[in-house]
Amino acid sequence: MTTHFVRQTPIDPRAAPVAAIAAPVRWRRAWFPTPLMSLLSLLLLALFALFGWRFFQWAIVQAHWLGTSSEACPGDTGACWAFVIARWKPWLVGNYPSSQLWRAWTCFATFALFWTWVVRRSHAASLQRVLLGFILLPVAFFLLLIGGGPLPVVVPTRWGGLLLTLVVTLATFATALPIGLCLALGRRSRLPVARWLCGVFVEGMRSVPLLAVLFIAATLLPMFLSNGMNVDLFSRAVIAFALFNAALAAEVFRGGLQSVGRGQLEAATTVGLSDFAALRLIVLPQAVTAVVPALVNIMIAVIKETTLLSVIGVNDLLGAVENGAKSPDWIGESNILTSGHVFLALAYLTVCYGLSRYSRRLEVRR
Amino acid sequence: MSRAVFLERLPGYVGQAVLLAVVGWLIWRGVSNFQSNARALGLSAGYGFLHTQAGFQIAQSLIAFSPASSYLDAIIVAALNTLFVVALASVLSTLIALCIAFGRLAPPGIVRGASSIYVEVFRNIPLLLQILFWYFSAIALLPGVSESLEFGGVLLNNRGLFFPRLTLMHGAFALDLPHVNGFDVGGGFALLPELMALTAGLSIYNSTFLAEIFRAGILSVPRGQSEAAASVGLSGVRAALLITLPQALRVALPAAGGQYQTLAKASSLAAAIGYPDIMQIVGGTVASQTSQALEAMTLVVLLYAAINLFIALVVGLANRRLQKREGR
Repeated sequence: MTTHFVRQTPIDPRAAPVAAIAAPVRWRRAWFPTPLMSLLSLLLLALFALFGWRFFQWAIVQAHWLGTSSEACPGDTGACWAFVIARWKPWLVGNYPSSQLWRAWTCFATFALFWTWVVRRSHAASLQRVLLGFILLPVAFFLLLIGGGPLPVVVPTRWGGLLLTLVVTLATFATALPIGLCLALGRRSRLPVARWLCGVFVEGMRSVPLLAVLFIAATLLPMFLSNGMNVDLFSRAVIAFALFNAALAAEVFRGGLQSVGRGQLEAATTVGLSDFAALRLIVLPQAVTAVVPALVNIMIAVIKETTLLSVIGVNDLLGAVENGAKSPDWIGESNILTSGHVFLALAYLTVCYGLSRYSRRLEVRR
Repeated sequence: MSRAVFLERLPGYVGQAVLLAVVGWLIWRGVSNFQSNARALGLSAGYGFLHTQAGFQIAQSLIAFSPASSYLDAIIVAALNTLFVVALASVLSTLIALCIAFGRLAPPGIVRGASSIYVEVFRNIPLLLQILFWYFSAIALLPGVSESLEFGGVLLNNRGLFFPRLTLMHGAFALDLPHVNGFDVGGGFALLPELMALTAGLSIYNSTFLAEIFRAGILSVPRGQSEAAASVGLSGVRAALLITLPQALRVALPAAGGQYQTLAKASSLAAAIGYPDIMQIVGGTVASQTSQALEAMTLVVLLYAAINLFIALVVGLANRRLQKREGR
């Protein structure tokens, strides 16, 4: 005979294991796991505290905020934000005539709206419209800013600052991407001449510094043009940027094209699409979608590259601040230029960091 | 080739011929324009100027140079200066990048946070702005010559960083110590402020990219490797240096090579602060003094392409050796 024992009531559930380690323990493990790391942590903490305090003192407590000349910033213990604030116009729009400023504001506002739409749009459906926008916007901006017809003409030498940086970035993007795509297609072409020419161009461009390309565009290019053709420095700089970045974009697109499996093209040909239709309808949409994060990275690179314009004497954002520190009103303390540099660093950091986060988001979402 | 195949390939042949014709026409137009423009400006062509006297001084040169030297010497000095700063910045940025890469892989905490902040901040500020910041803002904070900082024979002030130098004097080696000489520093080997700013900017900016490359390399090493190292009793640092790093570098080397090429090209930003490198001397001074901009810019392009090729060769060689050792 066997006895059975059956419980009448279920056992109380066991308490869940303590998932969260007590905060102090967690902190100790994170910051001071080994003696070496503890030392490093403490050192970094001390460095941060010291640097943060010094920066706070310099940038906020002892800073000079208002004034119209270097007299507003005596000594060099505090930042000279007066320099940045008083010269808002040169670094925002350069020498653009005051009566025509609405044109510049229109560009900024349009771009802000466009960018908001790009970031918030529902994914994938509207990539074509985004790319179209990036090609049409710079053309529209250029026409609006230069004027003509009822609007008085404003030559590009009077543009400057953030406005110029924005226009150059967009114009570079709009020209470099199509050229880059053509180069990438050319390198994969069945025609040896096209393959060879595109290969030589891309590899040649990639082995030369951008500054050398800009120097050539600024000093040598006019020699290669016939006498009647007068291309101004601004356009020559944009051409240099476009060609240089086209070579970089070509490598990106080549990667994208390679990521589309061979079967896709074969299947498209099998169902009777012509080579061109297969490329346009099947291969390109997949290839371009695959490289969108890389294209955002190219945009970041272009924004950072535009600072080189100041070296060849085009008045971009960096050039505007540098020139400002050389103007008679603001010459003197090195502190003034330092404030300008810190301001620029924060501005570029915000834009480029934001873009890189956006690029990473696109990569994850894909 | 049958007739049908020929007809099928005909559009391709025509297209290539047209492409060649267009490119050829563009080149021919450019060259003929250049010749007529040069004739109008009264410019001569050719590299004859290379052997004439340069007539300018170069602030820093690794070999003997004086205004009496030829343009060719000036170009060699400039190329050596570029190689010098590229080598210096490559080594420094690699060392920084290794520390940052391991820092970013540390457990969450202040070390990892600080490494991430370092990468994000210095990667997203334009290199030119960083170089200008170091040159105009940071070096201005250094003390003047009379209050030079001195550590063990090395002098640091706003005129540069001065190292002791070994010299051969009367058949015996002697140490040439830098010393303050009124308003100047005499003796020793000088790193100009331009060189310091350029090196700082290039090393810091490129170290952020290299750190990401190395991090990816370290992550590619299987976890079992470091666990095995720990179980045979290697300490964390030794396991990292002896087991993880050699395998990580093998993966990271090709990408790192590309970054060194980028660094070499970016060193041309020296022209913005006046460090006498290829861009500044050949593309600037030589081009404007001889007014033979085409020849000078051709030299600039060729020199940078040669440096790029050299780096590619060295990296390729190192890569092959590493792969071979792996295969054994």
